[in-house]
Amino acid sequence: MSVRVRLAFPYRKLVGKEEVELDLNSPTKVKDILKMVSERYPGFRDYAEKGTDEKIAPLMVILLHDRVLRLDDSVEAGETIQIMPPIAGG
Amino acid sequence: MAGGYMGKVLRVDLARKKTEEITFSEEMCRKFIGGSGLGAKILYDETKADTDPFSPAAPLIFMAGPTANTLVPTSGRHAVVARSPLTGVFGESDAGGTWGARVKQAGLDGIIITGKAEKPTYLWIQDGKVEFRDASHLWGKDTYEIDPVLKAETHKNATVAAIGPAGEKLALLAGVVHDGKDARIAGRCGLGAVMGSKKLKAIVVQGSNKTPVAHPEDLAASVKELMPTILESSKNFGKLGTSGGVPTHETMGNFPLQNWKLGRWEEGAKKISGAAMAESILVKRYACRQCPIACGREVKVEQGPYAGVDGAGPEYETMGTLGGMCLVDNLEAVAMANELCNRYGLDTISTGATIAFAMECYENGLISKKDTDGIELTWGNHQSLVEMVKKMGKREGIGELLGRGVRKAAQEIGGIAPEFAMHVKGLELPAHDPRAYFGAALAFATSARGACHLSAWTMGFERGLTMPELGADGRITRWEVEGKAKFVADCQFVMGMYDSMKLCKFIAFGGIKISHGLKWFNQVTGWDMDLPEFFKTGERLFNLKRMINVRWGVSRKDDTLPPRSLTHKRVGPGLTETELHLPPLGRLLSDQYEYCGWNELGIPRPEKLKELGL
Repeated sequence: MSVRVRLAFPYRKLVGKEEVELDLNSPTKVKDILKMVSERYPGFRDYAEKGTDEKIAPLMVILLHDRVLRLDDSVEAGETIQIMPPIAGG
Repeated sequence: MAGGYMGKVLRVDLARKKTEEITFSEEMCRKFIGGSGLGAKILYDETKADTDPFSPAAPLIFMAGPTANTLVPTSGRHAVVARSPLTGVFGESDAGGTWGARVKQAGLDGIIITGKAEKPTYLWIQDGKVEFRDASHLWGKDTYEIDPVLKAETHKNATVAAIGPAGEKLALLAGVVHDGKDARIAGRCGLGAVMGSKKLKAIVVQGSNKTPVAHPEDLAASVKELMPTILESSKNFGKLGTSGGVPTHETMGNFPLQNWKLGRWEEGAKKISGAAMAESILVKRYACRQCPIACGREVKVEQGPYAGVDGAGPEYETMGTLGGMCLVDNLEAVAMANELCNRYGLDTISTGATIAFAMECYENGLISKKDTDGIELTWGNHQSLVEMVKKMGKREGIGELLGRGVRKAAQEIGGIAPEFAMHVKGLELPAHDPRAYFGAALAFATSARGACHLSAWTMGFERGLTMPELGADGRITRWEVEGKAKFVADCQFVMGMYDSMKLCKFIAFGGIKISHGLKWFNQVTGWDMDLPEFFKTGERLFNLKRMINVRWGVSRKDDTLPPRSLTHKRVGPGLTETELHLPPLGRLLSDQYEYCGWNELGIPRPEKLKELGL
């Protein structure tokens, strides 16, 4: 089983692809998923390894379907999360 | 006088060609701040229950904030305030760009326009000196055309606030356009039509004054210290612009589709996103005065049917209304429709929403090709979208009717047309779905100007942004009801203060908290305002606007949402949990009234007004 991470612009530019697949068989925290992606794609590190929800929030929104995930939330094997721009209105 | 204030507001009587300088006491400034707040106070004092928005006596107020023309980041905004001819209630609209700072350089905190000029006129204000100039040669011309002409006639560094043909012809969706083709618009509430009713084509300002700052060294040090945080936190926002969020909002069920009917439109949303713009027609980013974020877009279309687009690009709200609401996924067509709105001086939100309304009327046989002069008003028809904007801008054919907005157009069309008229208090919904965020549902219902996404600006905090002073810890959820009314009201108090100090709310994307903004405000003014006074002042401004509306007949009956937002779920394939929620507005309203000290009809209680010094 795997967790799929779909990346919107500009994150997909940093990673070089629209989707990253991670082999995970057990529930994994969002912060660990981000770490795995940035270890594989160092260009993403500048965004992913901020440490706190507060610092991540202005930079990206992490969604499971339409639910906003926090760094300590868990993702089940087989699920797909999306990393998207956080912008609100204008 | 405290720092931040030039100490002068100019009153202009267009009929008599007279001006007068007004001063406000420091106490008055501290109570009502500036921008939207001081504008509301002036409007309250200078109107009555029967003041017609188009009567010569009705004031049209332009107000900068105390932070304008200082080092405070994102302080380059100003407010335009009047009784709205579109809604009949309190009207305010806000613009970035350079005009707010420039009016301070001209030596003024703001301008109050009254009277009606005998013939088309523009005002040229330089360092406090005022000239009434003939604008006959500019009448009928669009805002992009006249900007260089006015600069040539006045000063190359002047900034122009102008109306286009839509405002001249009293289209109720007309706004006031600033900075020529950079097009920063005070679009909402039809205030461009108020300017048109006074035969005032433009206000051109320039000067060499500096805004006095009480503690300049402290302010400079604080801004320098926080700038790296602002730049790092806002880097995505600057890169993608406001429309960078289109796919996110579509995924979260917040993006308006097919006049708020359809549930999902993933591929369409991608085509009109900030990312798509960055990879195609984006030429460069635009920054308002004193803004390190630069979320504005400058676009150019060089080929194809929409070649010639050259200037400000569509913002998120525009993508939502001219794009998603009409199901138009042609980015260049949306850019053209946006530019036409800017040139004619039309609010893109209300214009797109009204065209979507007309498309649904067309779909249901309430209007036909006979009414549209042969235009096929079908969903997704980008050529028709562009043609309809032209008709509305010129007020030709059906454009005359649609230029009055969805509420009045629905009354005229009759039948079930009001079902499709998505507005609150007559103001068309912006591109955020009250079903996707219950905070937005309540804020749309109780915001003074009608359906407004900015007067509470809760959505960001309901999906992760933090603001400790508001208790926003990143865990406030979208559909939570318990505690939501207090949160929305507190946001309305705070955002009312931002609108009065004239800080851009997007500074929150730069990691700037309320306490930082307040610290800058105190460094500018020299005051020692603390957070309780900040919140109390915001509450005063919110209640003042409510009392203006009460004077004009507003009560609980008006604090509502369109039936579609309250009782219809979105439809179509691929629906997620988002599309299945409906806001419990009655409960939310009761909670907010109680928290705000209003009675069950939504009227502020006398003891609340006394407590607030109103």
